[in-house]
Amino acid sequence: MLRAERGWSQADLGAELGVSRQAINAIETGKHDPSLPLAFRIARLFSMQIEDVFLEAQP
Amino acid sequence: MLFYRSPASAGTSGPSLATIRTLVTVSLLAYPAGALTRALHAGGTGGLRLFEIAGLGLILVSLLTAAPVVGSYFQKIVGDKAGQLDEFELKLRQRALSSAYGAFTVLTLVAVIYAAIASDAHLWIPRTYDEFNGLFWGVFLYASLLPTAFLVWSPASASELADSNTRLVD
Repeated sequence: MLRAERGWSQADLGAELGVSRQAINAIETGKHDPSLPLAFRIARLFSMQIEDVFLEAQP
Repeated sequence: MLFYRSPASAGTSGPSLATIRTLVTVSLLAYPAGALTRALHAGGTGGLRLFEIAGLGLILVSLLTAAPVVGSYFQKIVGDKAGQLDEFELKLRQRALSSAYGAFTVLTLVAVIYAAIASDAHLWIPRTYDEFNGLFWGVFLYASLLPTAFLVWSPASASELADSNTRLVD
């Protein structure tokens, strides 16, 4: 997991992105799909492309 | 909902989801039970006086169980300013408020229908200042806590809030 590889807690990542720790948890567990702006912020934070961070759900 | 001010600790710690479920349910049930017990036995003596005291006790229980809910993360979601919430919390809030609005509308409609037939059917209706005061604070309590109740009891929201990392879920 990208976050864990960097040794960040959910609260650390939430603080970096300006969202709650609960939001990070919900995104990581697949219970919440982030908005496009938030997805871009996440990708930018990890210096990656969005499609490298998020996998498209298969129908 | 009204007059909510986010405490510094909201979102970092606090009662678990299961605890808030219990507290909000007890509060929402105890208040009308207490208020009605008092109203139906007002001005009594002897045994009836005990009903009044029991009614006051239930109202006290309602207020004491509501207090921890008001400062919780769950109340922050339904009551804080939109600018203080992130997109995930706003989604949960919208779902809770939408459900609570429907329930509150039904409760209001039932109350209006009851009031319309109560005097003809010789049923109890509020008349004194004390009774209207109790009714006002009951409506206030429901307006404040009903969205929280839907937030913590909704299976979808509870699942999204479920978290093994904190005390949100017991």
